Amino acid sequence: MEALRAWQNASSVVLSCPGPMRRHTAALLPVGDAVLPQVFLGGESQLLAFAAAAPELAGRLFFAALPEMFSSPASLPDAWKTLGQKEHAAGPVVHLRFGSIRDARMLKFARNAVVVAETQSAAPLTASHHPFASGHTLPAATKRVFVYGRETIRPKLIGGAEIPATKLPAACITADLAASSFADGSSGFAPSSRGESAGLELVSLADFRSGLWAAGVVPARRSRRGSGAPETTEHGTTVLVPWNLAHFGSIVPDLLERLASLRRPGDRMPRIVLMPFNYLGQTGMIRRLIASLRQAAPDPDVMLSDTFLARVSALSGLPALRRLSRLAWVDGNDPEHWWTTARLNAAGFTAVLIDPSPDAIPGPTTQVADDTILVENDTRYGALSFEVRLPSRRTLPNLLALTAPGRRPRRQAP
Amino acid sequence: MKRQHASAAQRTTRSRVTPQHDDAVDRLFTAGGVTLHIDISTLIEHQWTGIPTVAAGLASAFLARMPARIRFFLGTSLVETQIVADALRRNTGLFLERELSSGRALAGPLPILMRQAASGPTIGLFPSVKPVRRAFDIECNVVHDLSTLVLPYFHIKGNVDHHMAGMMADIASSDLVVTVSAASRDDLGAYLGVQAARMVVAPNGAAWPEGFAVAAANMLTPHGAEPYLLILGTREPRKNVMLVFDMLERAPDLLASHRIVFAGKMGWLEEQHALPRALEPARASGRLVFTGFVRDDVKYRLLAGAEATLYPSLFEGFGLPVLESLSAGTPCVASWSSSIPEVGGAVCSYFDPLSAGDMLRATREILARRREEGEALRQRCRAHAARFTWAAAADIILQRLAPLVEARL
Repeated sequence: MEALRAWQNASSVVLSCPGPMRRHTAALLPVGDAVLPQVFLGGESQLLAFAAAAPELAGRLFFAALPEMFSSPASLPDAWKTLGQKEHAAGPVVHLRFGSIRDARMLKFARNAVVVAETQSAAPLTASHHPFASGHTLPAATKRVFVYGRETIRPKLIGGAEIPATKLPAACITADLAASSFADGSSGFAPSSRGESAGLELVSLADFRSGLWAAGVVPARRSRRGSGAPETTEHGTTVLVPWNLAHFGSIVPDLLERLASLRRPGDRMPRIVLMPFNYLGQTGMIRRLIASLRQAAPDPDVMLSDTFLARVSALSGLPALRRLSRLAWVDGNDPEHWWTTARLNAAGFTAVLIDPSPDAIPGPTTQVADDTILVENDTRYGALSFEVRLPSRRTLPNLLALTAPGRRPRRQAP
Repeated sequence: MKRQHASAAQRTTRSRVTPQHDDAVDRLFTAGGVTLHIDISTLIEHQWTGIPTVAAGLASAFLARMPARIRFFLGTSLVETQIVADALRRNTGLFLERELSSGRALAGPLPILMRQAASGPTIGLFPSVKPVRRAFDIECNVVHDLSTLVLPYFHIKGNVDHHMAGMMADIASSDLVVTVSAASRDDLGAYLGVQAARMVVAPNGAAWPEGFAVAAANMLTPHGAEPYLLILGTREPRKNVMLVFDMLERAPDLLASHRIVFAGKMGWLEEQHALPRALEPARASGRLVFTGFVRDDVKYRLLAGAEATLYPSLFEGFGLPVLESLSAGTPCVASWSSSIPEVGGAVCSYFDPLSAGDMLRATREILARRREEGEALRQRCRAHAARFTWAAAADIILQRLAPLVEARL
């Protein structure tokens, strides 16, 4: 790849992103063998899109679930051995890290670069002693930042030093989708064929069990109310809501609570399919959401049965996802909202941006977020507070109206 | 009875240190009137494992080497040396805490708070987080690992807050940063940009009272004792005991031929390393044993009697249980993660910490080596472990402090 020209002599290019490490069978794997929980959004999708955009690196691309545990070049031969490779080409190793800036980690003996998909500042209001809590600081050993063809956050090294940035080609955004026959709803799948839901893991909040979710096992069970999986788009009221678990100021839990509080028996409210991404293997945020919906909803059992979690564990799950809905609400406060929107659009979905910017103009794909709230979370980086905006109770009906059958916005080009 | 205890304590202290140092440093410290103040805040815990063990090892070594130059402190108060020495002999902070609570252990303010200047340069040695900063002429803190920085999701929030609250300021205010492994030193460089020239690697030691080996030899019953594999350490997600469970599910023959003993207190985030339902019968029938925290003498006996120890940790600053195993003459099957190969050297069998299959391979390999090599393997383990002593760690630190002292004389 042109962007990596300076590192063309690398013997191996190791890719990594945050995620549940216990899903992997070895510390180092060919990229194709990595088991990633959510390949459509977030760090995992950034990694896979890069891999698909760099076929010339294919034989040298590896995935490391936990690069920070490699202590020295001597660790690599052990890892190759596990892969059954007695020898491996000598030469420098390049490590590309994907996902949240806050979670950037190093492969210590490699040339480290961080790929940044975050496009806006989401610095917490509260101070944390954790050096990486701000989300704007990278480890000292980061040699380069790669960015997509758009203005992104320009993180600095710890200590404040600037770091060179290089643009990645546009192919790195959707190359995996383009290579897949499931990328666009207009091609490659027959709605009635069996097995299309392979690659889409779906469970209602009522049926959610953290242990099973963490293990990547999502049983195809019906919920207590018998509603089962959400129905196809013909039902007309299903909305996908991407949820960045690495963004501790996400409005998604508050948005759902707000929707729950508006709910009245007999109302036709949209059915929400949450799409958590940047999932590290812990389910605390999901469990907290369930607990808060139990408090907020007048009919919590109905709400939990009608709200779903979905993961695209393989792109072959996209057709099934599209049958659920082609409409998504994207949290504009989320640092990765641009990436999320681009991916949704490229895969045949329409993204309605919940736009927190003061100069936001309402439109068919934009809902103004007019209510400022403080989101506080006890996180692994300390207690972090974020000032974010979401639709007020007064304007939320506008967002719901955009969702109503016949009012849906047309899909935008990526 | 009291005399017997004192005698055992003296043997303990002797066994912790090996005279292998350069006297020039001692002369420099004496001539310059240097006092080395050691923070005891980590020693107040009742059960010493991990960082308190390291603090105790270093404190014992410094005290044995230059008793006249050592002071102990807590917060901004000096602490009676004899009371700390007693805690070190007893290997628990139980009585130390009582004496501190009553005020009997306090011995006045730190030199910086006194009107009269100290007779020579003062050094503050902090075995972990610094409760006070810039209170000594020269400061030196020990960084054990960066797991709370790099892998915060393996910890509860309190742990992360405790270690992160002052890490940057601790490092910035220290003239010398001690790491317990090259891996931790490299982490400090890679993540926080700490310059190598400001750091020194002083590997931990392992020491047992001399009587432990004798007692263990007398208590073990080679004929009739059931072979077992031991997993030693606090149970927390980073220790990766789930991999052991995965391995046992793959290899029921191993569970049939060996009992599996987990020794160590329960740590945190238990739901992430809960015993799988498939192995519940093994626990019920006693094939899987969870002892909880064990005293040092029991730990030694468990180590010495095991066929091998298993150490699947995902990330370590050092890996003290590996060294403890080898020092008891028991081979260790360890993950090759982070600092562990520095500690285990060539005598351990290593495996990929994400691969239960690789762990099984390494375990079978070490069991075969035990059968083939017998006592020779045990001796090699002990010989390797003997390179790691608290005295050597103390000496490395003193050697690096010497130029800093000279610059202030």
